[in-house]
Amino acid sequence: MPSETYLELQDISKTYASKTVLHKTSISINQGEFVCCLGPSGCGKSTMLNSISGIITPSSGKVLLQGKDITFLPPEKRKCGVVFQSYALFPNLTVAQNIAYGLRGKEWNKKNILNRVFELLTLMNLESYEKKYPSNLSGGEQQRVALARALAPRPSLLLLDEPLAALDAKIRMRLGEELRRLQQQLGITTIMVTHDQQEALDLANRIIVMNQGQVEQVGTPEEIYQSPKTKFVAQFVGNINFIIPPNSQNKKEIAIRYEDVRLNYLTELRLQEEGTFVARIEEIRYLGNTIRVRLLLQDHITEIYADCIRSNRDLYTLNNLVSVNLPRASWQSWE
Amino acid sequence: MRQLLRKILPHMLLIILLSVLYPAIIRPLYELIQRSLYDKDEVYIGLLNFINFFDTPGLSAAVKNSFFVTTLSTIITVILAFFLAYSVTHTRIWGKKIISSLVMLPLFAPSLLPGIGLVYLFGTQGFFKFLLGGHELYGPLGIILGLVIFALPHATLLLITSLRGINQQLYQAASALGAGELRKFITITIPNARYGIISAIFVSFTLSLGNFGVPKVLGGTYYVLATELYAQVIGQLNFGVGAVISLFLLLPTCITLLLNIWVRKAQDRLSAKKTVSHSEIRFSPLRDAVCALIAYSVTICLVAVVGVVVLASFMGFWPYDYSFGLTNYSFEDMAFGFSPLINSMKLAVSVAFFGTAFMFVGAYLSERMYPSALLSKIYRSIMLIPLGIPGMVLGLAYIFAFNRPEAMLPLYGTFILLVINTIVHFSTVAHLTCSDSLSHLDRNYEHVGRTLNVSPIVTFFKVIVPSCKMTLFDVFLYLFINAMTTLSAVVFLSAGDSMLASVMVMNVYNTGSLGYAAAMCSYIMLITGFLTCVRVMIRENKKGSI
Repeated sequence: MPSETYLELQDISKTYASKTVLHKTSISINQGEFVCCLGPSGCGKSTMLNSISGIITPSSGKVLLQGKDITFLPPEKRKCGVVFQSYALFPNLTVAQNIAYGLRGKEWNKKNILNRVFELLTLMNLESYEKKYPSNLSGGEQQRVALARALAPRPSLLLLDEPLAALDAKIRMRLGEELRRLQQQLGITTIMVTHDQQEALDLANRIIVMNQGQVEQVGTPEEIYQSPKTKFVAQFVGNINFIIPPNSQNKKEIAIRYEDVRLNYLTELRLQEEGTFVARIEEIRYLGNTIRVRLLLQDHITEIYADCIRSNRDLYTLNNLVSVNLPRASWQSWE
Repeated sequence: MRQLLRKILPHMLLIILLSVLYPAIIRPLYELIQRSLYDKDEVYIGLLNFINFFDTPGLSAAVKNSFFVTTLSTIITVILAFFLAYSVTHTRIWGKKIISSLVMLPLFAPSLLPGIGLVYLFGTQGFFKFLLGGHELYGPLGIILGLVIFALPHATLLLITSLRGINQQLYQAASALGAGELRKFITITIPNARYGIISAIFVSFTLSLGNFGVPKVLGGTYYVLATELYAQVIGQLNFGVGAVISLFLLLPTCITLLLNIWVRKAQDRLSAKKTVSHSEIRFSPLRDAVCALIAYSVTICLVAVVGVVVLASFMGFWPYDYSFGLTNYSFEDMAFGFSPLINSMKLAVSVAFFGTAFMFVGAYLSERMYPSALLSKIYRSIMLIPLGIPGMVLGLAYIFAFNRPEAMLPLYGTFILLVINTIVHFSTVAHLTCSDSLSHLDRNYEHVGRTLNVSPIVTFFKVIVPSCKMTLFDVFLYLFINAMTTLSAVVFLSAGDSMLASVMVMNVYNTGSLGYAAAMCSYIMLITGFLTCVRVMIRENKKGSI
């Protein structure tokens, strides 16, 4: 993958009235990458996306596309493909007319437009929908039309604003896969905004985690999950316990992921090991492929959750005393 | 037993409401149609009235005149209203809030006011008469100007709602696909506002065709259907011909109703999920300059027409005696004194109170109590009818239904009849506002109440009514203002002891006492304006507290 910087945001800020939604944010994105911008609602991720597409103008800072300053370039000159959460399909135009909407200018004569629309209808499996109106399509179909419309003018940058949020879980997963495959096939630089960590981990080459208008961490899905740089990132991505281990000397808080907590039968031998405690099972929840167990540690204060695979059925019984091992290697802590 | 009662009660209540609607809406219309088949002496003459109608030169001229002025004023109104609405919603010009408030001014004044204002400005003694370039104000020109002023707030309101409802993300999507301002206007603004424009055309047309105040003041010898109707009924007691004219006035309504069904179907495709998003209106000097020019000048004209009436009301005798004072406001040498104003306020309060209660309960029963679908449908359909009946037609229909010894209820000439008539006249909008607000409440409120074993009546008063507080207040205000200002419906029913302020304006104007008419208009505007300010303040307060 070529790793030259394609798009760069330098110290972008955006203030509405008196509220700052984006605070001196800088990121850079390489050609051909699939980047997910992840964060809770109101963290400024959509604002960031809109300042890339030009829908809003940042209050300060610069947007550079291949080194060129495009901060004040209006959206129609930027040639970004944008897909909105609500799809924003033109209700008065048919599917084909929607897809052809951006195909204007010298290079698009009638024949080219027809070919391009047909090409996209095929690519998106929308062949039979050509003459239908958006209101007659299901959510997933509308989503595909919106994607086709954004891709039609061959943009060099694809911006997706929570494109899957309004869909059912099953369709979301299938469309997510399609999106990923399409992105790889076309090699188009893509930035997707989402609040769904699973989606981000699943689809992205790199993830930008944002909170309260600032970037918390940038990294590959593995980096984000395995070594979160801040407490916020650890909390937002995946499930994690924050505890002060009993018997710890310095009373320092550590974090450990649910699935890193090891449960076992209580034996004298096991209790000898470092970071192993006695605990009582307080609650058991079946999550399908795993079991989530709530435990009370021997100090009668510390509560901890563990996600376990479903073996050793008789181990997971309410009020059972078990041994809990918190492997040192999976401890995380921040100053 | 209780179970059964609970099931039957909503049906019973709705049937009771429906049985009230029969004498209030259905029967008068029926009598109107029937009367068109009888002559002066109540002898059945078949279609002779219709034949005579077309043979009488004055009447067929009135038809032509009416359609001419109404068509022209509708075109002008909708074009201006579109510019105003577009300026308010889609530009960056200064004072958008002020414009949208000032344009609504004529709504707070009696329907005779635009006429009186135009007389002050452009009449024989008018300040700006020279602007008409030698043309006479009295006649088609004056009527068209007056009708535009009268219909403009209604059309603008409709178009503002329609333009504001357009999903902003459509514009963003179009920008991202490379569309410029003009292309966005043609492919997004116009198609999405299409049905707003169509309804604005129909509303302007219907309102203008049925308007009585404007041609009464500015018509001169140029007769239109509304003034002809008044002349035939009040002047010649020719009720049969009056009924025929009424049916003519109902014609556009019937067309509108049919078209409405079609429009609604097409509209469904456009009503997408609305998303609120931060969007910045782009800076476009040309667009803003054009819009500012039109919006500001229209607003200034409207303010001038209303303002000159208020100003003149403080003068001794415009334009001869400019001595400033309150002489016009004392009504000293008027036989009626203040009683019309007090009557009007009594009427407005009664109409607003009973009207709001009736419409809300009716809307609640038909919208949320799940009585048989058929009953709700009948109720809702009947409630749409009054919107299409011009006020004068409704007034005449009431004369037919109640002004006879064997009438179903002995109400003629009473204050109660005025109240019922006025409620009916404005009931559709009140009903639709209530239904809309009720349908937006969580569908499960009643179920929650039932599962907690709380009587539906308690839920109604403790949850439903408080949640719709602002809507109730708005409906109250709407009915109050309209009852204060309406002329067309009550002109046939208000007389003697029940003389109303708006009718008084007309009578005083006819005797040439323009100053008193202006003062009466100002009083009415003071009252309606004050209440509106209270509403705005409550709204603002609420915003602050949340």
